[in-house]
Amino acid sequence: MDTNIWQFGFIKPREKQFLELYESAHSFLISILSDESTRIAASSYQIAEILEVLRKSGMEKEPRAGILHDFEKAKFYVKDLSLADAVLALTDSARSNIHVYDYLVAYPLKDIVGRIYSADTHFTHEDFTSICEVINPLAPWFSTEGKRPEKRRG
Amino acid sequence: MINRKLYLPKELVEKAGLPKNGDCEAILVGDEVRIRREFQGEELNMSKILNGKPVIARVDRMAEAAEVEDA
Repeated sequence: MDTNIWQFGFIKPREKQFLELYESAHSFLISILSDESTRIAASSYQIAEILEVLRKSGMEKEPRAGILHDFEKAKFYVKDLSLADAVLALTDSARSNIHVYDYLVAYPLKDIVGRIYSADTHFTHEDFTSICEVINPLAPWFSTEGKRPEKRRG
Repeated sequence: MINRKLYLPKELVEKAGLPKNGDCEAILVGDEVRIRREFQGEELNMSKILNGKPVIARVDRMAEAAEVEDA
């Protein structure tokens, strides 16, 4: 589950036009966290990324510590990053021109996950769709790191 | 391992925080076997935070927070 979903689920945008995106991510997070048939896998790199994005978005230290502690619980499977993951991520990133961080989120989870949830347009690239099914639970909203999310029509 | 059952030393069960009675599950990933408690109604801090008062931020700050350099 990509970092943008965590960010938009926990942080409520001040601007009204993005409330729909927040409500969509927020309800998706609540639903998947309470679903006992679903385990959430993440790379150890992504755990740091999620916590850092929440910090930079204004979340206080205490709730961030609570979230970090949750990743040690049975609901989650955290896969450490290996050198082989880093080498493959850097190689494919150089070829696709997609930044390496998306690869560091997804590649350690090859052969582990059955579905990827992401609203990031980068995840529609074959490098990611070849791992498993990629679903955007926030559609028609899409996001790209560093840019305002956008609602696509049609 | 005896008769397809895996027996763990008591000290290891305690050290790993596994329940003395009840079910655990084993997940095989490559050559690694992970044994852990069952996930059933485990209380998550995340759920409490999601049901509480949300942090409010400008979208531009959120975009900036997620920003990374292009490859």
